[in-house]
Amino acid sequence: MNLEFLLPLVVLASSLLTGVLIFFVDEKHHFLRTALNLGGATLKLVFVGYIFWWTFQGREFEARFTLVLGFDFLLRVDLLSLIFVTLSSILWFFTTIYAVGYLEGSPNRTRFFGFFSLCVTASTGIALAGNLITFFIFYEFLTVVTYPLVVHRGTEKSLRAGRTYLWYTITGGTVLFLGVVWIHVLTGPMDFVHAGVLMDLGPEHRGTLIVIFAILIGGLGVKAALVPLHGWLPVAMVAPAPVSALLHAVAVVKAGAFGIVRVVYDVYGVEFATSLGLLLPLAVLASITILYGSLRALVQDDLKKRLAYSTVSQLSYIVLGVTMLGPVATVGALVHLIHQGIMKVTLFFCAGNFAETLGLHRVSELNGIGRRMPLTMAAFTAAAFGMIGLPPLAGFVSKWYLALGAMEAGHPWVVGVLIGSSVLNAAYFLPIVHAAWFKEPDGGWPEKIGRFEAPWMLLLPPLTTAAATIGVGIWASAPYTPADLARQVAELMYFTEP
Amino acid sequence: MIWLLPILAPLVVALFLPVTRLAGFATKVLVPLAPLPALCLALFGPADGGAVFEWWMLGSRFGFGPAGQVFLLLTGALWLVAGIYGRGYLAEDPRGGRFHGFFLLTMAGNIGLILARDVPAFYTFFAVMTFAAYGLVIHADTPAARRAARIYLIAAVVGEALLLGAIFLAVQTAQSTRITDIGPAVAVSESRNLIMFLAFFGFGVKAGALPFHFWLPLAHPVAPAPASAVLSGAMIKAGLLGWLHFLPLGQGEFPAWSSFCIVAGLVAAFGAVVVGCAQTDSKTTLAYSSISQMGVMTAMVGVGLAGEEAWVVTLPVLLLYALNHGLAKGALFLGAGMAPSVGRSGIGRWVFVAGLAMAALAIAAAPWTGGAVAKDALKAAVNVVGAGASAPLVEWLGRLLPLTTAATSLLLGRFFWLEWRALRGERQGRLHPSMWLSWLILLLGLTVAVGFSTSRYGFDIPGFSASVPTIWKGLWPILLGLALLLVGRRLLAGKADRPAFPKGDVVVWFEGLAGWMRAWSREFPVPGPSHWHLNFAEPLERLAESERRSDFANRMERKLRYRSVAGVLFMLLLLAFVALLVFGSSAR
Repeated sequence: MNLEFLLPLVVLASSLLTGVLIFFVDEKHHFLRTALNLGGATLKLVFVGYIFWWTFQGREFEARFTLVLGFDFLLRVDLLSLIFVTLSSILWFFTTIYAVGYLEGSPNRTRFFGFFSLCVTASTGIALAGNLITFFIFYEFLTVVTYPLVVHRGTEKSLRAGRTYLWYTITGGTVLFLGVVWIHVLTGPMDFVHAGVLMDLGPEHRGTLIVIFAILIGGLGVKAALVPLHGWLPVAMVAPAPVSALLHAVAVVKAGAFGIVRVVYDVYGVEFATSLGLLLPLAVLASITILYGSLRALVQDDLKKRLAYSTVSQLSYIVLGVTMLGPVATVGALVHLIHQGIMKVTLFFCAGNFAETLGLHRVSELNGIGRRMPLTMAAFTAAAFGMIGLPPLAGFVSKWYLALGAMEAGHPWVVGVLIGSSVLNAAYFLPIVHAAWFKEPDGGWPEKIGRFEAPWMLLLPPLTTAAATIGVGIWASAPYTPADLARQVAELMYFTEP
Repeated sequence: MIWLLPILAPLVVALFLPVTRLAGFATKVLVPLAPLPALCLALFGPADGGAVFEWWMLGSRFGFGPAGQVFLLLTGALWLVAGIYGRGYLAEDPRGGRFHGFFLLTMAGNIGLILARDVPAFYTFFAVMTFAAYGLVIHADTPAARRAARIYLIAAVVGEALLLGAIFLAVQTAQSTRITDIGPAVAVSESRNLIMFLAFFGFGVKAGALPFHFWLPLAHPVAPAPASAVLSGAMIKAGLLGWLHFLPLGQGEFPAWSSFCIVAGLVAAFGAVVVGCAQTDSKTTLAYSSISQMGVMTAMVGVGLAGEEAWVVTLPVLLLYALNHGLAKGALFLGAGMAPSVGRSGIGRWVFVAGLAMAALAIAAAPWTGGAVAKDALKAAVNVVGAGASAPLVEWLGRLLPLTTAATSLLLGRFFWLEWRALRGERQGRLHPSMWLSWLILLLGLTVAVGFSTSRYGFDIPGFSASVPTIWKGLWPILLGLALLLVGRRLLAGKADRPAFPKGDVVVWFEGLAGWMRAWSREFPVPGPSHWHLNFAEPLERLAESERRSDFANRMERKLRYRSVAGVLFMLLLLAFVALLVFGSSAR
């Protein structure tokens, strides 16, 4: 029982135990619940920080348990998991603060925060999973524990949304399960390996492998919201703002995208997948998703719905990067995994602030909001500009690597997709920014209470993540930034002998 | 540090603006001083050297290229003057604080893009300038300003998109982000034509190249005078600088592109005059004059594309021409902002008219002005390049040059006449001393700028030598232009006051097209947000609800919201999972 074994478990437990303990806290014990929440989030951050530090000093963290039939339950820290677990623990921390402020005084908070913690546990597990089985366990766990969050409000609309969510994700999970089982029938127990594990199978399996790939992507594509499997995501935005923020940034949709990353890089191996001819169709699908999501976002008046379609579009940047063979595209995919999370969480925080403090849900209601809520709107503007891909913000760095990577891989048409999407992004974000800062307010807003435009718990998280949007762009070349981590993964994948 | 200070200074000043106690001091003193580091760097800084910041974005470098010093001189001087002028111009504007915020941000972008020596940094500052200038264009918040701002933004986004394509292709070709590596790589690239096309039009949006010039006559006039001055004097040149960075100038012979640029430039140079003369607003005629002048510079870029030697002789001429035009156009725009308040009599009026005439004559290349030096040098360069004969159109350009001068005189004559009419109108308010001061400083700078740059930056260009033939050569095109103006006025007397071309000319077609498309989409409505999204769940659900009673599903769902149910479900999943594993291994 050494530290290398214990720490992955401890990281997992820090949110799992928090979640379980919260279920035993009575609804009215606000302070205790908040303390547990923030304590858990802080502890997790500390542990992840510790792992982060020591991983770069060359220590390897791994916890392996043997299940029946020689299958392993494996938690392991490699660079990919490090990227995802760091993202999820940092964003969880801020989302927790936000959620505490957001749900102030509303009913059923115990249930909410309990499942909230479990949801993060699931995404941590997905990050740390060292093989497909473990990944699948947490992937399904995530499906289940997110449902109560989506239907939290208990209204007819949210119940319907929850139903749609379950139909999609359970079906997706079943399909994924089929793929996972089938692949294990072929290979037996296996762990994630950077070059992939399947190329040693004989050529007679090629056809099977192609079918399995399609099944796996079909299953993962539901959560990753690939068109035409994205229908649940815009519906699920009825969930409370902190849930949407987490859902769109690190939890559910990222689980799908991260799964695709794992399948392509660590199960099939990107070179092998390319040689099977699997990645070009996926690239086309991702491109369609990118453009379709942006086009749909354009006509939404509901702010959260617009953001949801924007997520559909932006997530596929990650998939697109994964499908391009070459280190630069890999950097693009992984860096966008992080950058998209930071930017989108900011946007949802801000949307939540508009809804919570002024009751504004529609884009057409946001005229002049910049005067009433300048800080929130400033954060929103930074994140929106980042999404468009304007330099020096986070989205520009992603787009830079993706475009250059696509050309390196010999697919210059992808640049056209990226530019088209940028223009569409501008077309649906800039009118909001314009209306908020330059139009006359429609008025009729409640008076400002207190010193700031919103409670500090609602203000601090978006401001921090907006600052991060700017920071990770400006310092994209500095060590330990998202871009740097992504570069290290690419280095490991393409330039290091296994 | 000296390379970063010019960029940081406006940004730091901008931080003072939101602080209520410091805002007054900042707008009165710090805003006008913010471009001073840039100007000092251009005047006294070293020509080479630079700074590298590996950690910044994708690794950035700053310094001067071959064109940087002149561009920075022009930009620093114009922003400085505009800042001082704005102190008075916006003294009573309730939204002055907001204006100054955008002013400083735009300034930082404009200065930064000149000093940037790598592509990401250049593009960053270019984008910062472009989007921050939106706040300058929309400032007046009138319907005209809002329309202009909307069209500006659309043009800007289209420009950015084209640019992005050019940038990605160029960087991929060069396998480097350094500006110095781009030109040579583009010259030998397979996708050279595509890159040049994207770069030409992408930067052309900023430089007012046809057909993307349409936003200029709308945006430049509605912005407050100091903003118009920097828009039309300094920021328009950012597009030119972009061309210098991304077109393979001095990297070989490109006869087709050379001819294309010359034709495009000449069409703009003459076409803008025709449309501009039909305008009734003096600032709009100035904007068209900018399009026309940028057309001449486009043609000069075309000359430079004719060969390696051609670029060597063209570059210094182009720089001086841009410098002269930028300063003079700035002076004209600032002057146009002063006209309503100058008054009908007194010495001020005559100083004003004399100053305005001076700036106009500088653009028209009248003898003894900097414009004459630049234009003479241009003729000499065109003759040298034309003799090389690899590009037939260069010789043509040489013949047409005096006519561009005549056209310019015609357009500026029209501007003058419109201003004269404004001077006779009712006097509005009084001129703040800082506006007079800044304007006179700018005029002073204009008189010495070309001569100073020639000696300071070591250009091999002769000064103006006064003799009867040279004076006559400079004078006759101007007289021709003015004569045309008189003839035109006589011919059109009585029907002149309705513009024959709308502001922004082709923009009305685009707007018509947009309106038509809107009407069309109303007729065939694009499905709204509520339907048309692919929701597979709903049919499934209807299926489920028809088979079992729907309240069963509802009951289940309420249960699912209890904590225990989710847990049990999770356990069941695990069990099923193990069972399938058994199945999986036995099947093997």
